[in-house]
Amino acid sequence: MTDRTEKLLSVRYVVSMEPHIILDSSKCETCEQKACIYFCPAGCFTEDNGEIKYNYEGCFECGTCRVMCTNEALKWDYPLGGYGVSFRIG
Amino acid sequence: MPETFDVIVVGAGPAGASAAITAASSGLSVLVIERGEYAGAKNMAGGMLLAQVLQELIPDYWKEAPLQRPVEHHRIMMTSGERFLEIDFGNRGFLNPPFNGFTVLRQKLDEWLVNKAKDAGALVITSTVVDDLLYEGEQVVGVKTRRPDGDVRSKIVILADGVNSLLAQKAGLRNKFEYHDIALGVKELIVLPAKTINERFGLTGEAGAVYTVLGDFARGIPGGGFIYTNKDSVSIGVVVQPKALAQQKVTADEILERFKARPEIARLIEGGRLVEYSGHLIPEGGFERIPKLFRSGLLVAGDAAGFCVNTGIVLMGMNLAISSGKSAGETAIKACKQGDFSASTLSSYLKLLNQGVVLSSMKTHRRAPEFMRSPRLFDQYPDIINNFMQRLVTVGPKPHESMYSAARDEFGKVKLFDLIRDGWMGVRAL
Repeated sequence: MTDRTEKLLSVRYVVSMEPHIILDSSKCETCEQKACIYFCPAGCFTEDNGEIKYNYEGCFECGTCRVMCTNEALKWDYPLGGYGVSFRIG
Repeated sequence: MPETFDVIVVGAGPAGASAAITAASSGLSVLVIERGEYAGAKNMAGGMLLAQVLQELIPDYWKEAPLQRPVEHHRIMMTSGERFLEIDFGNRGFLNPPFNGFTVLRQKLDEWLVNKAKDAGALVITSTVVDDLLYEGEQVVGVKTRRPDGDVRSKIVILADGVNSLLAQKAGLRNKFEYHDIALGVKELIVLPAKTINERFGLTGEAGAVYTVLGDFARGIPGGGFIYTNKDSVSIGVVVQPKALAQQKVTADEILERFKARPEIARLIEGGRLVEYSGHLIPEGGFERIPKLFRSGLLVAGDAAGFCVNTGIVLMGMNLAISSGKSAGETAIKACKQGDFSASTLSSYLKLLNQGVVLSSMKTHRRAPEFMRSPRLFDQYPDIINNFMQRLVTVGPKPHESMYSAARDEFGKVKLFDLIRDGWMGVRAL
C-alpha cells in the first residue's frame, strides 16, 4: 500500500510564512469525533497525545475542514496570492 | 489600465475564462484576477469535460484545445467481493465532431482558456487574492484585493472563484454549506505508455474510456471510484462524502487504496508511476442549494454558483462552468450596452441559464443528490446485482433456476418499500 505521505511528495506547494488557516486547538479538547483526522485529504490534522495539530503547509485548500469542522475551531482563509498549493497537472 | 473596468472576473478557471472571453470579445474592458500563481494552480478534476459547450465559445475547439482523449467508452462497474459487473457503452460516433466527452488535465486546459481571454483583450493578473467586494449602497462597484492600494473598480463583477466562494458568502448570496452540499474528490495521476493504456483498456488510437465504479471498496460510504484514460496517463480516484469518512473513521485515501487494490482495477494501472496526487471539493448540493445568482453589479458562475450535476453516470461541472461563464459574460455585455447594472437588468442571466444546459440540467436532475445519498446504492445494490449475475451463470449438477426466481430472491432482500422508493427516485432523478 502506498503511504499517503509518500503521495503528498508529488504535490507542489509555494509555502507562505503566514498560515492561512488558524486552528484554535483548545476548542478541539471538547470535540469527541475529531473528524478532521479522517476527512482532510492531505492529512493536515493529526492527533498527538489527545491534542489536534494542524499543518497548513500541506493544505490542498479544498475547504473540507471549513465545511465540516462543526466546532468552529478554524479561521479559514485563502493563502496570500501565489502561495499555497500549486497543482502542476490537475 | 482604465480607472474603471467594465467587468472584473474573480477566478481564472473555466467559468471565469469563459466569461472573460465572451465579454472581452465584444470590446468590453475586462480584468481577470486569479489567486493562484497561474490559472489552474488551485484546480483539479476527475476529469471528463463534456466539451460540446466549448463549440459556442471557440468554434472547432477540438483542433486547438489541449484535450486528452475523446471518450468512446462509458463504463459502469459494480463490485462485490471477488465479483464485479461491468457495463460498457461504446460509441465510435463520439470520436468525431461534435464529440461528447474528452478527458482533460486541468492546468493545460485552464491555461489555454485563459490565454483565449488574453487574446480577446482581457487583462489577467495572477497571484492576487480578492478579499471582498466594493459597494456603493447596494451596488457592487469593484473588488478589494489583498495588495497595497488594492481596490479596483468595475461596472460589474463576475464571481467565478470556485466551490468555496468566500465572496458569494460575504456578498450575502449564500449561506454556509451544509455537510451534504459537498463531496470530496481525491485523485492520483498515474503515467503509463499510451500503448499499454490501449492494450489494458481495450482502446485503439486516441480513443478514451471513463469508468464509474460503485461497490464494497467504499465501505458503505456514499461515493465511488472513477478512472479516466488520458493520452499517456490514467486519472484514478474516488469521490466520497466527508461526513461518512469521519463516521467510519477512514480517510479518502484509504478508500482509494482499497479501490486500487481490487484485481480488476490493479491490472489497469500496474507498473504506472504516480506523478501527482490532488484533492478538491465538488458542490453536489444540486438545484435546491443553488445560491442567489446575482445582485446589483454582481453575477456568480461555475462552482461558485453550485453548478454541478452528478447522476452517477455523468458528472457535469466544467461544462456548466463554461456555459454559465459565457452567459454571465453575455449578461455583462447587455448591461454595459444599456448602462444599467441593477439587479433587474442582471436577472436576464437566469433566462440565459435556463435556455442553455445549466439550469435546465440542474432542474432535470434536481433529485439526483438525494438519490445519490441512498445508502443502498453504494452498499446493498452492488452486492445484489452481483449475486443475481452469479446465479444466472453458475450451473452445477442440480436444476438451474430461472432468471425470475433469482431476481425475486435477490431483489427480495431489499424491503419492498425501499426498492420501490429507490427505483422511483432513480427514474425521476436521473
